[in-house]
Amino acid sequence: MIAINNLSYGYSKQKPLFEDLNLSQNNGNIIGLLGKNGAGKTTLLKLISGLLEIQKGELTVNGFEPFKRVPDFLSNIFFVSDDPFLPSLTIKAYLKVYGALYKNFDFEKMHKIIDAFELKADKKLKNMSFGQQKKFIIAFALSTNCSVLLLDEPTNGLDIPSKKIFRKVLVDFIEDDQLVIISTHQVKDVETLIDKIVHIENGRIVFEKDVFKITEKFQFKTVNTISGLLDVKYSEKCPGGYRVIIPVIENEETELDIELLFNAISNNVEINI
Amino acid sequence: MGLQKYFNLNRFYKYFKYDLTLNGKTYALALLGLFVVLFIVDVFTLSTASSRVNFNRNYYTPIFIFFLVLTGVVSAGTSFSALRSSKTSIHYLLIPVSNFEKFIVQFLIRIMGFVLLFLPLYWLTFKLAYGFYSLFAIVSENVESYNMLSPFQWQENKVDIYILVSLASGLILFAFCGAASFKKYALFKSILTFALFVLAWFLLMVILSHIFYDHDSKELLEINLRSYRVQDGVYNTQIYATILFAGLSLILLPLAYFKLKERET
Repeated sequence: MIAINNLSYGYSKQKPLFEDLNLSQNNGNIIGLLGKNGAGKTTLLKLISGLLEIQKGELTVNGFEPFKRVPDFLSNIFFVSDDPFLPSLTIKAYLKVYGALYKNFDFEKMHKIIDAFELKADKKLKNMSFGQQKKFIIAFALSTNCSVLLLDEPTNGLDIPSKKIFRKVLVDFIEDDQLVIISTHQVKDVETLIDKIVHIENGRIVFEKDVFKITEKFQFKTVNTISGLLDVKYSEKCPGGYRVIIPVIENEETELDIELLFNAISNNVEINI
Repeated sequence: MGLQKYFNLNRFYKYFKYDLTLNGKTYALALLGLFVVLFIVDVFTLSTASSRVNFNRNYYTPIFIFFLVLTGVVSAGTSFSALRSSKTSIHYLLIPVSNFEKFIVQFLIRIMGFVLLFLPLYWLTFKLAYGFYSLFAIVSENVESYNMLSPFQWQENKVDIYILVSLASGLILFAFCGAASFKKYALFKSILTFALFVLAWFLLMVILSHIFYDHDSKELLEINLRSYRVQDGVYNTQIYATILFAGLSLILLPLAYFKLKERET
């Protein structure tokens, strides 16, 4: 569980990135942490993982203060950075020495995910492509069975088939009691995965809603024309017409168009639920 | 949980193994490089000194101490190498072991392990250099026979050994502390910081000399120290130097730990 109360943090004292930030997330959710470049997504993940020290307020993860970096906290949280470090070892050798440091590491699960990603255990990590390295570290993160997984731009560097496998792997291997935060600006990649959206802009959380509540209240449609449509919350031109966000009519729910929602929020459209 | 959050033997063992697996090749190459350098230095010293004078401990030991301190500073100053870049430091800081265990592993490998290996390595390179040199030149019979602990049997006055040991540990720990504190160019910045400390200390001593020994100070940058014998062969300045360097070491070791503990990416 993550609890953030009145958190303040900034790289310079004159210009704080976060001021009085509040966020509370329970385990058992997959959260999409969305925002433009420079919004503060990675900084928030670094604060949660204990890589940065908060300047004001409170932040606890599973009851621990992250920055103290005590082993029981660290063995229960895994942060996959945008550009992860991997040493010059084979997958097999790395698993043997690094996997052993995580008390809940599941080697069987790791081999299943490695197979799904079509990675070879005798291949050196350094000799892999960036995409393969990314797949390996995602597989490793899932196998640690940490209760909190932080994935920063996990689909960067993955080709289209790999993105598909990534989504399948996440759905298949995430445990019910895990809290996963996926930070990305490539919102389409995580559309079918997440059950909650947190949107950050200029260091503030401007939107925080469950996906099912959004789709309960709003429809995401492509229409030929917007004339005649009542109460259009947001619209965008697209080939063949318009993509629109409108209130649900007669209980007709649609799938979430996360990109459209992202653009609407970025354009300061109020989506009240 | 208690002390387990700071130190757990099983966890420490696994982490130690992890570090050796990851960096074993680097450590081995560094030792090989040191071996080659010491061998060349020993051959060179034998060729220049043995034919003219007795090659005794007055040659053997200063080279030992000079290279122990020099390479020890490099070894300690390049500790915590994962902290040099953002990518590697994210990984390093999140390894699920305590800060204390991370600190101890570096201390054991980069300082204790290095010093313990340096002793036989220096002795071995000298023996090999002696054998190699004697293939090409007639080695003077004046070259003494040395054992691994010969450098420590050099001085008649034990206080000088204490000064050297505390000086060496002070310098090495200064570099170690710098490695935990600085992100980029840690070794260079540590040396620069040390130079600034020495300069500040020198200026302080000059000022104090002018205040307390005004009548004795003839030059502007002159230091006056009142030296007196405490007991046979032991002077107050020797005790002062030992306390200064040993005290520096005692402060630097916990400081390095706290610097590591407070590290951010």
